Amino acid sequence: MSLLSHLSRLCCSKCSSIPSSSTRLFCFAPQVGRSTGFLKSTLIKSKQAFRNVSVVETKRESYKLKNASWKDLKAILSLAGPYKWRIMLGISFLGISSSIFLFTPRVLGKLIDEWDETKQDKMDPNDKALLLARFFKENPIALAGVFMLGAIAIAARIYCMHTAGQLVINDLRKSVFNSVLRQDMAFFDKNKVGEIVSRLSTDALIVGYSVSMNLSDGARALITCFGSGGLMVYTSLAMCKVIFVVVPVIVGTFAVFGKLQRKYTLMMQEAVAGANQVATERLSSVRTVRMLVAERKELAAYSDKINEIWQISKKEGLAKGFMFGSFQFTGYLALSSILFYGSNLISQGLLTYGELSSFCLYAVLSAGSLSAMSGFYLELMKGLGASSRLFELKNREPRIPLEGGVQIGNVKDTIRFEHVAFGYADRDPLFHNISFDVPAGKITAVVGSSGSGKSTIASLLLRLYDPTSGRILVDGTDLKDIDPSYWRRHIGTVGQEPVLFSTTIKENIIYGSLEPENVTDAEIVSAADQSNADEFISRFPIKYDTKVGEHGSTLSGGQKQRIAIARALVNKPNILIMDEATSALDASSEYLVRIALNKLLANSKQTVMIIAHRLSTIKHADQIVVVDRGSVAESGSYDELIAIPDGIFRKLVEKQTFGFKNPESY
Amino acid sequence: MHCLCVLRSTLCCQMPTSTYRMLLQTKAVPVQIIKRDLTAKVKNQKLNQNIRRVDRRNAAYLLRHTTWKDLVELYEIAKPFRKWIFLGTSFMVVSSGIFLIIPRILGKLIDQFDSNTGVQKAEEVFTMKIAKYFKEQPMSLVGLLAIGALATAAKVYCLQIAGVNIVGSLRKMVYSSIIRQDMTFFDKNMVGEIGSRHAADTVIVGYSVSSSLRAGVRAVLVGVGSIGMMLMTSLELSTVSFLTAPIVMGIFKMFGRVQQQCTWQLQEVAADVNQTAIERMANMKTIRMLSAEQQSIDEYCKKGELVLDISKTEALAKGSLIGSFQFTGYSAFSSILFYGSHLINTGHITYGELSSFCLYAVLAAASLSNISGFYNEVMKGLGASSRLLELKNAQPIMNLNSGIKKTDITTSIQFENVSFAYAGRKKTLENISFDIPRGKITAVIGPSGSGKSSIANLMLRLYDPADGRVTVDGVDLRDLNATTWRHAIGTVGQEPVLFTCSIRENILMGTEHPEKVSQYELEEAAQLANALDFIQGFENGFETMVGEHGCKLSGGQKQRIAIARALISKPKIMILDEATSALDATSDYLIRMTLDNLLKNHNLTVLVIAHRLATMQQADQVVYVNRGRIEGQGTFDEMMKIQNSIVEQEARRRGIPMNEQMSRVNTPVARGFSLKF
Repeated sequence: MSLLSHLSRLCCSKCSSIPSSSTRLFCFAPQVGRSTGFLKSTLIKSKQAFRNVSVVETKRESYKLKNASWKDLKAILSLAGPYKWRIMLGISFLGISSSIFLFTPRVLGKLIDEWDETKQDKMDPNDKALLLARFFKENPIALAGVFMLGAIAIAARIYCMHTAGQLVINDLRKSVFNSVLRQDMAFFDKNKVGEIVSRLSTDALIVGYSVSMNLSDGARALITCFGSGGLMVYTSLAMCKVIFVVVPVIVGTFAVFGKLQRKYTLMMQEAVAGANQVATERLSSVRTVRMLVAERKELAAYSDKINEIWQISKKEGLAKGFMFGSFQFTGYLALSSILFYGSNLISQGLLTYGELSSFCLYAVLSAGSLSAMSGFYLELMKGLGASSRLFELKNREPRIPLEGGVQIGNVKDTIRFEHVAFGYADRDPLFHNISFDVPAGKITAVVGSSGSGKSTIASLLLRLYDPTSGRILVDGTDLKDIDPSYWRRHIGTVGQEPVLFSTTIKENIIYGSLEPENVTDAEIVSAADQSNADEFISRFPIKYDTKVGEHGSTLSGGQKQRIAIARALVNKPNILIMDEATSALDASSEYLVRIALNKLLANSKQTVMIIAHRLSTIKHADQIVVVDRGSVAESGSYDELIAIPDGIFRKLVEKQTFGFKNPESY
Repeated sequence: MHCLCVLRSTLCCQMPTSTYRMLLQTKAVPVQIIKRDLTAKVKNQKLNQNIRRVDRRNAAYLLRHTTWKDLVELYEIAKPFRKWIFLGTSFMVVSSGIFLIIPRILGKLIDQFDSNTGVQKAEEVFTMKIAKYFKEQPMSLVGLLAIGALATAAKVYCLQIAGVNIVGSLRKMVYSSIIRQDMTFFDKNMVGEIGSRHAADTVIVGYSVSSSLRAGVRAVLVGVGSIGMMLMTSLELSTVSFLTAPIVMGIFKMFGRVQQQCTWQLQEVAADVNQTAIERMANMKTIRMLSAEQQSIDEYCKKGELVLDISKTEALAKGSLIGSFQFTGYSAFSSILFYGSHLINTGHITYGELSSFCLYAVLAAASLSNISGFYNEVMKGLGASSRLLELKNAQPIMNLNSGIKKTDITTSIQFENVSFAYAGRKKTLENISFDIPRGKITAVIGPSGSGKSSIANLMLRLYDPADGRVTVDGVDLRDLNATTWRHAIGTVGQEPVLFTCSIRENILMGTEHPEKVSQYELEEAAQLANALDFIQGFENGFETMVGEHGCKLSGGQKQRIAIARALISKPKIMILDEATSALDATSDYLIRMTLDNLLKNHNLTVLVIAHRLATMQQADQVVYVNRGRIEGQGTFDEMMKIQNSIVEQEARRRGIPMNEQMSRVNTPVARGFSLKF
């Protein structure tokens, strides 16, 4: 942590030593040579920063790995808490089936001795196993009945555990999805969606399996192992000496290779998520890939990811191979030793054939259980490997919460930006001193060049991000003290790039409503009519039930934008943010939407912020704010700003109307 | 209507997938004609009914024929790695051989200590000698076991490597096939679903292949070996064991089938869940703006419940299978001991032989158990693979790599009576005819939804016309090599899409040989697109990472990088589909100057699609499109007259004062004035 802190300070000092304006001046140097030099210097700086980040992350990973085990194990087991009764039921059935199938070898051993007449006189008449053996000798069908009972118990156990596992997986996925949805925008700037989805689908499966079906298999192995062990001691204490020599070797093998396996599982998860991320992003933009004729290139990128997986898997294969080999060796060594020594005891008259048979069966059961325990251990390790990242997602607290705070949904006086500064994560500051007012019931327009941060002002007002310094006040109340969801629900927003979901037009329009089922058809049509969308919707065969295709791909840009406007209007918001809302509309539609918005404003006194490139859309604004190089350069009405000689706004207007003979006609 | 539906269903069920898709498209026309007289509601119901019926039959058909054909194809994929498979199998033979011979020797060892056994068979003398040898030198036995263990380790390593390589190959093949499909394919299939299926199904199929290589073959080998040794040891005891085999096999077959169906359904639902998650998380900003987090969670949970329901059925099948196996296994074992003890009493076999037989029976039972697990995994793999192989084998109707290689225009591009409709939609374009002359600017304008962007899509040959044709210098576009043709066209779209890498890499995405592009050429393209200033203003310059889909840049910045990407390959033809709609006034102006300069110096052929008349002034000809038809074509001045007339009609219909609309929206330019120098 202190290393990270030092690194942050180092970066800050480096950044502050070269202010933005100086960097830009340097970039304007005409000589190509100087530009090249600058680029080289930038590259070197970039490499150093990258190396530092790698070192810190590597150390942090090691630290986490060391302390992950027991804490994560508890967290994993607590996932199964809500379903403990189902799991207990499964374990009960396990007890039944294990009892039956553990006692069988002893009875069968007695059965062997029963047939050997030369040994009959030595047997204890009061032995219960002997009595059972005699009973089954005369009634073989009863034995089949007992086995049937055991089989049914096994089936029931597996059903209980399997369904418990799926329930845990569902809960885990819901928790992670819920947590992801609540994160702030900075989280999504840093984390790739494809990777999150891969965690959600694959890792949840592994973790869920670890804590349910695997738990059951582990319990079964444990019961069988100790049961067999106990009965082995009961059958012949002398024979157990051989076992005690071999067991430590087996356990040691598990410990070593289990750790190795876990390490490679973690690496494997990372590599698979990387491959999925590449595939998801390319597939979701396949139209662009096709336009750029980049299919071969994309396949090459994907192949690189696949090769990474293969490299890691080679190491995993090695670890797995040696573990299986070691297990096979020690298992057969134990079995051979048992038979070797057992035969010797028989020749001395200290052991019967039946007892040796029983012992061998228990030894085999024990070995099988150890194998199952090794599988259990491996699956648990996989679960821990998969869970560490998943729990990080699940437990991450957003810096900007979804709820909590004063519930304010309207503006009575003014929204005020006070000396606001902001920069996106890992980027240079975008603003350093923004101050302006958005009066209630008025139209405020924000203009400026691309990249000057106009859209970011809207994001800050919606509180998708928080300012790095300064504050935003609503009627004097800091925006940080206001309930974010309540605040957002009363703001209608139409963005620069309209996003529709793969459902019907109707569902897209009511998507932003708090209670979609309460929105009437009349309200939907009214909102669509106001945004001039009803006209084309009515011409579709199934009208509002038309499916829009993935992300609205079957509609034109203008059609999508009008539906997005209708979605913003259907809630009757008190505040409206139009971020280049009409840029994708044709001239006629733009005019109609503007007329409709004027009516809205005249009737309901909404507070509006318009962000636009097209200056024609803001001529009627009550005030215009000009943003340039991270601060407010000009502010006032259209006429006031146009009257400033050499003003920035005036220059923008002149450039856009270049070519028109009579600019005054506007 | 019913007759046609039945016929259509029958045809769809019997034909392969590729023909199935063509058939659906072919049938669209007559169906539409028939449906014209129906009301909207009835039409909607009929349509849904037809789709449901066809899908259900198709699924049933696939399920019935999926097993053997898919299995063969899976092993075709494994063929390139048979060296690893052979090596692993060789080690397997060694280890299995050693561990199969041990029980027999140990059985003889028991008899060595039993002084009661007097009878010696002639053919068993050799085995007795070996047992005697190991009795005297136990360490040799340890050595033999060590060799077997090493062979096991090597086997696991080789077969795992083979498995992973096979999975990798399968993933590449499926991804390669997906990315080559037509746009029509993507109109019909949700990207999230394809992505999920691609990710999850390849894991399941790969695991099937791996497990069949590693566990399945070994199980069969050990099983056959054990059975052989059982027969050698005692024919009578083997008879008892074999009576139970048909019962076990019957159980496998029954529950294996149920398992397969459950896996199939599980895959379908899981893909749906993932698609929801991907879409919501990919548009997080919109979700947050609308405060729709709870709705998203509810939707996700609802779909999760479906997964649970199917999983319960799967659990039932799995439990029954394993329980039944346990029952039959223990019954068989008890029968062996029962009968074996009887045989010992009558003097037919020795205790040692019974011990050997029991060990072999246990090995055989374990192998059957592994075969049962292997069978289940293969069934799962087949369930997952049928859809996956469909993706892998789906052939695009449009071939990417065949046809005449044409990279420039000598005369013009012509649209001749072109009609077009997206899959499952009504006609977007109808009887479109116009020319795009070489070295000129052609502008296409019209209201939203009139099909302007579709004209660009057809010209890029992302889709093919339903009627008519697009020709280049008289050659049909369908006869041209699509890849070469697209390389010749620089495209800037309506919504710029950037990828999650550096600015440099995003710009180089547009060129065929990125390694050959110099820094100077990169900067030149950026300069032309007015992007150089802000790129060099970043701390890392061209190496700046743009965030997922470019989310760290503004809309205008993204658009300028997209323009640079289009210019980097110095195309002969440019398509600008609302390319400057997201730019500010200054950039808009500079882009227009740049394009004008390009035209003079490089003789580009340009197709501009725009809403705003102001961007049309430079055009040599303007085509006005409305509701899928061309309503006017000519020079800018000529179009202004037509536009005025159309706008006048629209204004009158909507009751808007014409003067106000004209004065605000479509201020005409004084005649004779233009930007050209």
